[in-house]
Amino acid sequence: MSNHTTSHFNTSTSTNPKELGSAKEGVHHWMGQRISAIGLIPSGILLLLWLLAHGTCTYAEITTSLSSPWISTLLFFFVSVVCYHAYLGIQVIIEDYAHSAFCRYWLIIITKFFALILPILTLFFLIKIMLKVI
Amino acid sequence: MKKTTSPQRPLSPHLQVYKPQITSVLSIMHRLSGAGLAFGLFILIAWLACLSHSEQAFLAFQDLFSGFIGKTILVLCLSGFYYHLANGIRHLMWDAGYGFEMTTTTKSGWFVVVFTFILTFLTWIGL
Repeated sequence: MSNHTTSHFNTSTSTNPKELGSAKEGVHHWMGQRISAIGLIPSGILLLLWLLAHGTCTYAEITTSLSSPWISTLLFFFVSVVCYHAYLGIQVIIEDYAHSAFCRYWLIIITKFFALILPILTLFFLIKIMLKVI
Repeated sequence: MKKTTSPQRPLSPHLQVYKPQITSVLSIMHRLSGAGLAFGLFILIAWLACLSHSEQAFLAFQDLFSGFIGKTILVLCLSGFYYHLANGIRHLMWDAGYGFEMTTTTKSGWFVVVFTFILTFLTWIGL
């Protein structure tokens, strides 16, 4: 029985960029960005059309429409996928422009927290609207 | 761990000398519009928050964005969305392997720009 496990990632503790070589991971990030983009094209356009159709509506009309399970799902889906897509994008921007390792690390973590909190908030706002309309 | 401080070395000019092209300008615009949209997302969430709170909150939100500054912010956010959407599809075509020829890239790039301008104009007069 072998206890041997291989690490597929670069686990070097060196801080010298000349010694590190390839990170050997990152395709997941690339794929996630593209797949989320594909999901955002139809949902984003549909949401835009909904906003256009309800731009001049009254509060009652907008809340009634939003309490529809279809519109709620559209909005929640869009916000959730957009938060994931935006997180991946902002991560790359932070990695490019934040020069201190400390700042990079914690800025990315803060961004991740925002990306997790916003969809949850959206869900509760939608539930609150539904409860108003019922 | 010994930390080495490297001396301040001169950097050769890049942004000041490299001629802006459809490829490079649209690339940085894609990043800029993406970052701007991340900010615009908060406006969407705030709109939803006001809706869930009360009619007064919602009307106050509408008032806030009905002025010139508010409308400009909305048009800018939507413009960023149109641009990022169009250029994003251009990116996806590259990812699928299409459109790398210089002629195609230039044409698709200008298409994205024109698309953005037309929709932004329509949004501006529509809002």
